[in-house]
Amino acid sequence: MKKLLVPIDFSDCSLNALRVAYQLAQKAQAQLQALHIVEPVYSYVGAADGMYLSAEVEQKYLESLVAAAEEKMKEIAQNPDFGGVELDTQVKIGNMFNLIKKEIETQSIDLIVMGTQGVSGIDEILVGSNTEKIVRMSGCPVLTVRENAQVQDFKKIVLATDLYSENRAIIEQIQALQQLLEAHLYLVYVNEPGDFQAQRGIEERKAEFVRFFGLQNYSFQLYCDKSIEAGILHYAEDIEADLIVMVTHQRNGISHFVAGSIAEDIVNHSPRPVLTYGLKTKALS
Amino acid sequence: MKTILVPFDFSKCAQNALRLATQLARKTEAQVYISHIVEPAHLNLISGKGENSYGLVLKYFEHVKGIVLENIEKILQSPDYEGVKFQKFVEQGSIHKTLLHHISTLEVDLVVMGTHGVGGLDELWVGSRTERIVRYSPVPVLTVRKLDNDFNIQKIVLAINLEDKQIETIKKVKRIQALFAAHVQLLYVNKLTGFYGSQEIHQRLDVLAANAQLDNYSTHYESAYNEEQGILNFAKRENADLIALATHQRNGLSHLLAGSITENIVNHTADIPVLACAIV
Repeated sequence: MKKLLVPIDFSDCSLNALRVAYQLAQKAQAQLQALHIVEPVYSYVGAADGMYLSAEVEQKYLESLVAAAEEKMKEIAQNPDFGGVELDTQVKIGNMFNLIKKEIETQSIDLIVMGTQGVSGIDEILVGSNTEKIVRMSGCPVLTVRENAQVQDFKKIVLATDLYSENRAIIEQIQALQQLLEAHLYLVYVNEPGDFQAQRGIEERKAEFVRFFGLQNYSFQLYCDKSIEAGILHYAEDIEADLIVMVTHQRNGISHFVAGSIAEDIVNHSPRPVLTYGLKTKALS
Repeated sequence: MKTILVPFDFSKCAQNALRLATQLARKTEAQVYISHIVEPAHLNLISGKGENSYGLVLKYFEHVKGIVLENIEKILQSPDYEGVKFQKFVEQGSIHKTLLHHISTLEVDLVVMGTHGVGGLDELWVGSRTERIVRYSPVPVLTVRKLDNDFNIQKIVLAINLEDKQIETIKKVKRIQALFAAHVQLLYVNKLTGFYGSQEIHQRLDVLAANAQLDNYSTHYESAYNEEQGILNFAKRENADLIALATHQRNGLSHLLAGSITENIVNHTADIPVLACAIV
């Protein structure tokens, strides 16, 4: 892991994410990039009032936003809490997704760390999907951190898996992370009534899975619950996990984790940090 | 535990059962009744025509009885059996009827017996003798096949469902637990019918344990297609020293159709002793 990107909106949430990213950057001796994005609001503003912002007014407005943001970013850069790590702060104007995607490509970002408030209701469709979007689009893994998450250390990592459809690139990345953090990996397969499996058969699959990927320092649990999402969240709660790792799969109907909606659900509802990998994740260099 | 009954047929597993019973008796100062039963079918073989068959049968039985008592006495000379009070019974009659009769009249607390295990077609129609005792005995039955010399009960797997009736079973197993200061693993086998989430299983097992005032225990579940597989898989994986479970007493047709989990376990468990407790 060489470069981490943290989108900042100056909320407590994103500052907490920055703190977590900082801890990781320290451990990995990686570079940290804090990025604030000002999204220009175009002509739909004022349409209802019959008022239109002229191009100059809009430009002035944007400039003042950028100036204010740059001030705040300077404070962050100079904050001793973030000392000892190469911290780069930037303010950019444009569409959030496109800018982040560009950053990832041009700067070879290895991990994005994002604050999230968790959501329910209509918002639910939006936030988790933001993470999903970034992950699927960019092939860069995303670590979501809740605003009140107290992250001391990542020692207990939960990896939810169906034990057959994982790909090597992702598992290798997870193992590298595990080693970096000197963490214990808690493999979990969730047994739900809709697709009930006996322990005996799953044990064989697990043995093969562990052997194939050469997993070390791990435990395995066949956890039962009414749904996969519930199982992952409850299991993480039971063992007081520090991090949940999810892999979002393509929509091809074969995979147990249909449409990656489970990863979204976990991101939306987990009080613990969630690290989401997509199928486009590049292999370790 | 004051009285232990050991049905004895001189087989390897019966001797193992006797050794285990002796260990238990030492810890509780119980006395051990050794019962050898000669079934009339064997006696009928020697009757011929033209003679007083019944008298011959009696004489033969007395002869057999003498030899049996002598041989049991020889076995009891071994230091394995020191320090415990034994009483020997040699009788003729139906094995399971006689044993059940002893259980009530001798106020037996526990039956310890060997089991050869049964497989194949026989299993459906005949059942093993052990099975029959397990099915009908009002007191717990401990079945043994193999017994290591340094046998000790450190880990007891107690398989239960989540009903309140199981509190009684837990209490019965507590007595064995106490003798060996063993750890009890409460096990629920999670199947498609009767499926519960993990958290709920742990909670409900904890409630049952609290009601039975059980200490030194942990709660577990195993996903399986049927109880026998779940219990056997778990017990083998955990290297359990003893499997305990409650058995519902079913008679006649309902038994033939539904079978019995306990009896299946007793028949198929490899080396792990099984304690079957009747649910009244």
